[in-house]
Amino acid sequence: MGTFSRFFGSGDKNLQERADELLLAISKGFQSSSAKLCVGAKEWVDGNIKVLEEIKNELIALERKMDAKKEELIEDVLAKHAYLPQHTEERHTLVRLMDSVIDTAEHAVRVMWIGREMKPPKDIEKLAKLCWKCTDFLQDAVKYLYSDFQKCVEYTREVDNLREEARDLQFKILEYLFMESNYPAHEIQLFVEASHWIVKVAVQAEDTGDFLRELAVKYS
Amino acid sequence: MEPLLLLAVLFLGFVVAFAIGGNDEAMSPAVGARVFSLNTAVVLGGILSVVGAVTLGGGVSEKVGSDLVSQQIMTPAMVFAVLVSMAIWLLIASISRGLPISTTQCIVGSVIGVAIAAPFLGEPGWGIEVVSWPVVLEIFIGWIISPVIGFFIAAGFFWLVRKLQSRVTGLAGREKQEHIASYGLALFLIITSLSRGGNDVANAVAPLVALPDFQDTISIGPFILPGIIIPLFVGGLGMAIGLIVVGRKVIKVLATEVVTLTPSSALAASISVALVMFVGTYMGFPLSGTHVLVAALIAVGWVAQTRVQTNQVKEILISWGITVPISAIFGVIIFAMITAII
Repeated sequence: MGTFSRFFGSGDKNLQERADELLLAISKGFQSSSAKLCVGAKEWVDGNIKVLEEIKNELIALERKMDAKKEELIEDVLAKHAYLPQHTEERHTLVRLMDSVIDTAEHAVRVMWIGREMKPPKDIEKLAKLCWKCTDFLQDAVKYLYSDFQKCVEYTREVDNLREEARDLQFKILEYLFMESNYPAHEIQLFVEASHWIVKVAVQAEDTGDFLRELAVKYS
Repeated sequence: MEPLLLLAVLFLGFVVAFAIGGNDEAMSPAVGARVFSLNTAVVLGGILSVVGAVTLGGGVSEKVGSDLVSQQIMTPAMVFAVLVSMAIWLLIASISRGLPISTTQCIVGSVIGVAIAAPFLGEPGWGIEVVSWPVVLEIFIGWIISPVIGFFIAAGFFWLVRKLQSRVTGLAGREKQEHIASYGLALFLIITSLSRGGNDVANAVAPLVALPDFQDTISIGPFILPGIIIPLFVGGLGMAIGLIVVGRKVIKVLATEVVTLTPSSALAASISVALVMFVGTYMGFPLSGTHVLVAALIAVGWVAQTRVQTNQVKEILISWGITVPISAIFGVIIFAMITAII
């Protein structure tokens, strides 16, 4: 009689409030991770290795903290009587997508750290800034999903536009690296890898935005 | 009646009820909207079938297709042939493909088959001329019209519901609406299943209810109950076990393999079906609840712009098309076998 008890017990207000708090915390988490990535990219470009290391450690700690929040949300809230099964499933997907943004930001900063002795092209910093803006809009989209579908959709469109810009810039960087620069091959390889993971933050933000838009369209 | 024969007749009623329960799709909107799990739906539906049969089935006296055969009274052998052939086709449809078919269609098909074949099997006074073709035509038109009406009523009703829902602009409000709809759906289907239990049991045990053996009262401890409780309980139990053992496949097909449902769309479809059936019955149209429900589910899926599994719908439509001839053939074969045995 699992579902039966879930059905009559669903809608626990305390659990729903906790779920909202945790979702909000995770959305702040991905925005913060992306902001840290942006600062890290600037410090990498400027050659401030000590600060880059601090940023990397902070981002790793943040990712673990957000993982703990995700686990709490999944195991202690969603697994219980907070929502109807379909709404629980939608939250699972949303949390998984939001968490992937944080994981990708951590991956990107780790790649930067491997190249700490290298001097990356300046545009890497611009690229990270665009991705940070992407997650900024995504955070607003998450916030508005619960109160205003139209605004939510508008913000997800902004995420899409910025992701396009980020990809254009990534190819500009690639063209510079392969066609114009005099970097040694192994450095080019690392910069390509770094730009790939930085842009992937925007790509994951876009995926999350697409899902938010799907929910907004489905329920509006 | 001899106790052994009475037991055999009750067993037959149980088997027919088992087949009807095995093709009971009433709970499918709740399973599709994931308000109930499949297990919960069949167990709850089974309990409600028994309660509905015992409490609401008493006043029902089903004349098996008497309008179809110019009010002629069928012999017991003919009635049993009709019931058994209906049970066989229902079980085949349920077990093989989980297809929701109409019990009424099965009865109509086998009554026509048995009535036409009866003169060749030693029952004079029957034959093709006894079949009331205008009634048959009316019933056929009802089967074609009922899904069409069900589709448009459900689509219109759900469109209105969606309009009202769109006033809420955030997910929090919409989830609340769905939550309320899920409670409404559960309550609605509990009432529907109770009433179906009372109605459907008639198809299985109506001939038994009329037997003199069940006209006296029976004492169970301090309680004195009418004797017809026994066939009604056997019928209800048969439907419950049929639903639990075989019915899950039919519910699963309708709940998950036709369209994707939400609590509000499932509730809109269920209310539309009840509305169409109520008005149709009041106006004397012979509508099929199964046909109207399938059409209503497709309609809400269409309005919600979710994908409708056309292959599954085609399979259901084909099964509806072949139900009457197959039931007629089964009816003749079973009637011939009974005649040979007697």
